[in-house]
Order: sequence, then structure tokens, then C-alpha cells
Amino acid sequence: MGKTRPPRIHALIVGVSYYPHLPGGSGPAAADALGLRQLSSTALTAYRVYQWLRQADAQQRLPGSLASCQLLLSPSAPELQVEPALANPAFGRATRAQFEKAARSWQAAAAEPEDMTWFYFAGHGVRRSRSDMVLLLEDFGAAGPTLACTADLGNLIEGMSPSGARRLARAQLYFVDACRVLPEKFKRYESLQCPPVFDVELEGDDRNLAIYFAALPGRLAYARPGRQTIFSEVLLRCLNEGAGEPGDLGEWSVSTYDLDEALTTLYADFKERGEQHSYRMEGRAAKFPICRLLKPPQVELAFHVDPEEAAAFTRVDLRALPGPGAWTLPTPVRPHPHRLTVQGGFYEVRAAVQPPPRPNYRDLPPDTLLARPPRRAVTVRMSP
Amino acid sequence: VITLYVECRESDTARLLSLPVEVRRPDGVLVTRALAPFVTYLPAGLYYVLSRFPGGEEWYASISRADDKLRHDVVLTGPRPQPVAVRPAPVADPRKGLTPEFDLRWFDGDPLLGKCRTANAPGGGWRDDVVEVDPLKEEAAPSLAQLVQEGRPPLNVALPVVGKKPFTLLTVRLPNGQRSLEVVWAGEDVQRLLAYLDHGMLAEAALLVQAPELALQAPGRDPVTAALVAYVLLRLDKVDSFAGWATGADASAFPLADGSVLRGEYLARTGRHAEALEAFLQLSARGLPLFADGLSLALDRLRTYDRAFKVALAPDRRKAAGELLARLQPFGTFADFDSPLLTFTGSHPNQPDATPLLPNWRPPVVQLWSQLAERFQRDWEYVFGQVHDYATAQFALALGDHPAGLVPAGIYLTELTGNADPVAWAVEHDFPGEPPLFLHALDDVGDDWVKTGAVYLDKRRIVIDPGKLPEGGTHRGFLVTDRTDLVFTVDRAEVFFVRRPAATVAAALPAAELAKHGYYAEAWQRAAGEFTDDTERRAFVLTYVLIGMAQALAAFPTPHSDRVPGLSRDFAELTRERLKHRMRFFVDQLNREDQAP
Repeated sequence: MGKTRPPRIHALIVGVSYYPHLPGGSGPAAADALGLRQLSSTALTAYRVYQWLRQADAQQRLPGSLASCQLLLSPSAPELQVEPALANPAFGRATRAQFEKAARSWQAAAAEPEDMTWFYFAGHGVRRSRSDMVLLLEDFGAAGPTLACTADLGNLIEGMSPSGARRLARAQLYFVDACRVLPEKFKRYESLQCPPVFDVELEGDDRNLAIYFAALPGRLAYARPGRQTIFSEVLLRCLNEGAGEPGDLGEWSVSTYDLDEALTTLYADFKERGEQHSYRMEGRAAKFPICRLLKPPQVELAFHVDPEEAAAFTRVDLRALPGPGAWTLPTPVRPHPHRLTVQGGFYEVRAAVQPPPRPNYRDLPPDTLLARPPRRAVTVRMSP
Repeated sequence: VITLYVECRESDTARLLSLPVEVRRPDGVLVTRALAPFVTYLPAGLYYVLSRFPGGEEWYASISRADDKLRHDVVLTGPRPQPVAVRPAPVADPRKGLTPEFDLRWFDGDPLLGKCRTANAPGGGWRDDVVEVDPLKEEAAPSLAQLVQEGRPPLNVALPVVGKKPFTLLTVRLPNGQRSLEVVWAGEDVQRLLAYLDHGMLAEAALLVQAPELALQAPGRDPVTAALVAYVLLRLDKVDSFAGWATGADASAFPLADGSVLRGEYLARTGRHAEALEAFLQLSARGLPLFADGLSLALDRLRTYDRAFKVALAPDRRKAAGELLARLQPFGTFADFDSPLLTFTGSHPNQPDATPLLPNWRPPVVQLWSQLAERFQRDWEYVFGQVHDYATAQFALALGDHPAGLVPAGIYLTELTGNADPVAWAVEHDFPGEPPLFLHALDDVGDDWVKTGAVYLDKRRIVIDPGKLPEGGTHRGFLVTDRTDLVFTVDRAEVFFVRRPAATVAAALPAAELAKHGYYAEAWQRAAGEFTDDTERRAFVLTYVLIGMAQALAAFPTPHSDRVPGLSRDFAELTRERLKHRMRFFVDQLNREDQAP
């Protein structure tokens, strides 16, 4: 009988903020800068993701051990001031040559079907079709063909496909933290080819593939200058405490599906606030685990009494099921909706009409709810 | 061990619903997730049974270990769950009060094949900015709707008219003040499936696609719903669920081009790439898929086949892949992949682009002449240099702003709708990539014409109703039919044809002439060989004579043109008068023939 090796995780993380050939860079100016500028937080973002992955591995939160983790960084000067560790010479530069070398090494390492891969890119990106993108590397704009120093995400994904001759991890995660716009000047690049990173050998493809994009096609990805991209902030929040459901052993874990639902929910909040951030999951994902949580997550419950006038005389009680923990919302329920943060799990909700009796309203029988991160709305229907 | 039976019922109607249900332990651990109604077997204990809906609603029930029954029947119930979209719920944007810089146009035919043409509005047209379309009741429903608004590129949305289910088309107002088009699907299950996907509730979506109402191979299955479900199955990596469908005759006979995409994608994922490529190449003849997912999958696969070098693909097939990719790419470049149905920008569906409409755009008249002076100048030289490009030169002659123009203004109409615009016309008549050809301006009278409905088109009929013409003034019109174009002025005897004459003008000409004399007149198009009697046939022949005269007349410069060297003004004027005289004769004869018993 052969031994079953525990799953191993192989990561390739790339962050490009500094583009020498774009305006503000130290290299010869690109023949056509395409209106692009230097970035201010994408290398730092990649480093934060790298840190998270290392820490999650140390805490044994990942489904397997982190067997390899390559980090390519092209930081900007302001980022280096914020985080001097970005200058660590152990990290490669995010040039086309280094990317190609790292990608091949990544492919070679992830050579077992039970393995899992991580890919994270933060930098400039250009959309071509829904899931296909061109990733602009540090030396984009150097002499030569326009797209010489870029990487085609589609080629990368295809190159990571198992074939008869090549065994490869069958659970693959891709995070693309870049814009997906098609500026006027980019339109002519639709027919331009990126030099392939991998030779594509197509056979059957039974991978579980989940691709998380930081923007909808045609939209921009955003960042907090000198800090992190919005996507990475939301992603790491989800992976730490903002997503998941209880696993077989009672501990909470985050799967590909859980992450999608949580990201969708949190990005919907952006939308409600009128912010432009957007997010999209692509690929062909079956459900597979990404990480587990160290403790049950915190869940924001928003209680809404329906109709709203009943909020003035309704008492709402919440009790954890099972275990200790009980809350009573103020009567009247103000602010309305009333927000309460609780630990993830089952709760019993009771609602009663406070004296004097109201002819059109009645007490509600106990109801149950599952508090699932990152938040959920609870409607208390008081009308008969 | 206890037996647990779970079903979901709407509380108001007690209607049984197919809904995803979870059974969990008190600590939240998932015991099973299945599509209700279902039966499962569990160790005795306390369980919570719940069904989640997009938007946060949940139905709950619990079963307790205190209850020592061996069988538990759980009925989850609640008010009818409303599908809630992440995107703002579509709200009809009442047309009332909108500026005129907003309009809808309709097309049929396939843009990829270059066969997209202007079409009639479906159903009863707009009612409070809502169009309800039932494909089974439509004689010829358009396959594309185009939203045009000032300062934005026109938005083309593929319509699911091949389906068997009705749908509703709404204009919705976006937060940025612009408008968009939204297709609302009929069918609660389809709406719920889309809502689950919108909310990232993939586990629920994965169960819901198993509902009998959405089964891919159900007899009489609506093809649009089937394609949607198949794309969801692909997204959830459940390709085995439609293996039989994809490899059997179903995909080939599927009435949507999406059938080829779905079959190709299935074959590709199972490693049968040569067959997959053949399936994708069928799009060359079948046209664009209805769904944005279909276009995206086709682009990705064709790009792969175009560049993959270790795949056993014949060189000619690889070349074909590259050629099809080049044709599809413009649609992908300008597509909005956020919409389930194929949506892309472009002045005309045949030509995707992102050119916004000019701020001074106003339907249906576009000011164009200044952009085309150079072209007309060139064509003018063609005519008088004995180059046979009459048609375009005659446009030049007819245009009012031109020094030699005969018609100072006009109304633009197309054969199928009075609400189309010259951009569409130009594209459809093989002037791709060029600015529209005409007209310069719409004079006030012409504007009144449109407003009063004096000239309108009823499907393929041109109808001129002099009774509705404003009194006084000069009434000028410029009609474009699908095979020929007609310029006429109602107050004068001249009737000028431009472009290549064809049988379809046979009726339009006398109709215009009758209208000139104050008669009610209408015309319809007939192809050669379709005449109902000899009168009609004679009218057709006479019209051809007239057409020739009109062409000759149009080829001569107008009295105020002195730009043609070597041509006597007197001679030109005399010739014109003679031609006009003869035309009057023929027109009169035509009218007599037309009125003959």
C-alpha cells in the first residue's frame, strides 16, 4: 500500500507597485504608457497576503502545510517607508523573467493531485474576456513588443492544468487584485499576444478552480494609498473571521463557496454606500476548504421590526442555542434596524408586544436563526 | 436512527416548493444539505432544519431528541420567498418625463453574421417603459433591444425570444443617472436561481439546479432556461450532469448558438479538444450565443486553441479558430459580462464599439453632412468621370446642404420602423466604419410630419396619410426601404430615386405621388414575380421607366450648380424639365393603372 502524503500548499504571490517605464519611474519611458501611473499599495498588499499565509500556516489553519511560498515584489518608495521588509533581497522582483522562473518553479512544486495552489497578483491588469486578463509586470513598457513584459492569466491557468504527463494540484485558488478595465488605448491590444509563460498541453481538466477577481469586468479595483487594496482588506477579513460555517468537528472553516458569499455580501455593502468597488468569482469551483477559523466568527445581526411602527412597543430577546448568552434589545427598538454583534451559531429569537396590548399585533412564537458571517438581516414580523 | 422527511410549502397557498434545505446540529455543524422534498436518516438527536433565501430570509424548524418518534415529517413554511437580486431591483423607469435623448430600438438577425437588421417593436410596444414579450405569441419578435441615450454608447441586449417563456424588458435607472436595460425572466425557479448566484449562495444554487422545474432534459424544456441551467452547471463544475445532453443530439439541435458552446465546453473539459473545437466553430454559422457566459467561454477556448501548440488540431481548424476568434473578439471587448444575457455596446449591433452618442444627438434625425462632404465630393467626381457609382452621387445630389442639392431637408425612415436612425441604416447597407450618410437637418414641417403621423410604416408598408399633413408649406420626405431609397417632395412633380432601384419601389412611387395630390395612399413591397394581377405588373414596369428617368434626372446638376465644367446650365435645365415632364406623364399613367378596377 502506498503512503498518502498530506496535502501541501504551494503559493505564488506577486505585487507590483513600481513600474520603471511608466511616468514617475526611473527607467526609459515606455513608448506608450497607456495612461497608466505608478501604484502605491499593491506590493504592500502582496506582502500582507504573504504574511497572512505564513501565519495561517503557523497556526495550522490551512487545509495542509504551506510547502512553498514564492513572493515577487516591486515596491514603491512610499511602501518601503511603511514596510522596510519589502526590500528583503530574498523576495524576487516582479519582472517578467523572474515571474516566468517563479511560475515554472511553482508548477513543478505543485506536482501532486491532492495538493493545493494559491496565486495572488496585485498590480496593473487589463481585461480581455471575462476570465482572461493580462497582468502587467514590473518591466512593462521596456523596449520590445508592447506586451512582452506581461503575463496572460489564461495561459497561467491553462499551464497549471494537469495532463497525462504532468501531475498537478487539483485544487487551485487564484486571486486577481487588479483593474479589469479596457481603456481606449487598450482596445487594440485585444489581438496582441502575451508571450506564454507555460506551454499549453490540453487534456481533460478536472481541477477545482476558483478565481476571485477584485473587480467586475470593465471596472476598476481600488486601494487605500500606502496601505492595502480594498480587495485584500475584505479578503483577509473574510479569511480571519468574516466568512465560513461550522465544520464537521464543530470548528468554523471557510470554503470557496463561503468566501464567495461573504465577499459578495461585503461588496454589496460598498454598493449600498454608493462606493464603486466590485467583485466577481469566476472559474468552475466545486466546494473545497481554504482555511479554518481559530474561533467562531463575529456576526453582525441587523434586527428590523416589521412594520416599523411596531418597533416602538416590541421587546426582542435573543438567546444563544445552546449555551450561555442572552440579549434584550431596547424598547423602543432604536436605532432601527438595531445592530448587534454576536458569535456565530444558532439563536432563539422571541418578540413580544409590550403593554398596553395592541389589537393589530401579537407576540411571536420563538423562532430560530443561524448567525452566519459576515452579517445577516433578521426581520421580526409583528403584524398578525 | 430516525427517518426525517422534509418538504417546503408556501404558507398562503400550501404550494409545494423545491427549495435547498440544510439540516444542522445545534452546534451548527452541517449534517446534510438537499433539495426538498427529501428523506434522510439520522441518529436520534436535536436538529435544526432550515432553508435560506437570498436577502436574508430563512425558514426554520427543529426536531428534538425528546420526541421519540422514529419518523419526523418536517414542513418548512413561510410567506412566499421573494427572489432578491444583489443589484438594485429593477424598477421601471417611467418614460413620462424623460428627455427625448433616450430611446429604444429593435433589431433581429445575428450580429456575428452581420445580419442584424432593424425590426419592429415587440408586443404592444412600451407601456410605462415596460415591454412584456411572450415569444409564443409574437409573430416575429426582435432578437436584440438597443438602448440609446445621449453621451453614452448605445447598449445592445440580446433577448430570449427563442424561449418559450415570456419575459419583461425594463429600462432601469442606475445610480449614476444613466439608464440600463434589464430582462426579467418569467419563472420563479429561474429568478430564484439567479438570485442565489447573485448572492454568492453557490451551495444553494447547486441544489436548486436539480429541481424538476429546471431539469435540463425535461420534455418540452424551454431552451433559454435549459441553457441558463447548463451554464450554472458549468460554473459549479458539474459537467457530468449534462454529459448526455452535451454529447447527444440535443446540443446540436438546440435552437440557440449556446448549444454549440455548451457542447464544446463539455468536450474540452473532458479532454476531447478536436471535437470541442468543431463545436465552437459552429458559431461561425450559428452566430452569437444568447448568454454572456457563452461568449466568454467561446473566447477563452478559441484563444487557447489559437495558441496551444501541443494539441492535435489540424492546421486548417486552428486557422479557423483564429478567424472566428477575430470575429468574436470585438463583441467580447465591448461586452458587459455582469449581465446574464449577452450585452454589449455599439452604435449598431453588427459593429460593437464604445463610441458615445454625441451630446446633440436626438432621435431619429442626425446631423451628418459636414462629416461626409469629402466622401460625396469623391463620388461626385466618379459620376462625372464616367465611373458607375451613381447611387452615392445621387445621395449627394439629393442632400440639401450640398450646393447641388435638390432636397433641403428630409425625414429619415426605414422600412420597418419610423424610429430607426441613419447609423443603423448605414451599417446595414454596407457602409461599415463610416459615418452615416444623411440627412442634414429636419425642417419644422418634416418634424410635424413625424409628430402628426402623416408618414409612417406599418410593418413592411409605407403609409402616407395626407390628411394628417400640416396645412401649407412644402412637405418633403426621404424614405429608405429595405431594397431602395426614395427621395421625394410632395409639392412638386419630381420623384427621385436614389440607390439601386428594385421592385420594392414599385408601389412606393405612385403612393407618394397620390399623396402629393391629396389622396390617401399606401404602398407595400413586392418582389418580382409576386404581382397579383396585370395592373400591378404594368405598374411595376412603368415604375422602372420612372426609376430610370429619376436616375437620369438626379444625375444632372441642379440649376444652381455651376460646379461642373463643360456642362451648359441651359442644357441641364432643359433636360431636367423634359425629364420631369415625362415623369409626370408616367406618374399619371401609374395612378390611372393603380385605380383601374
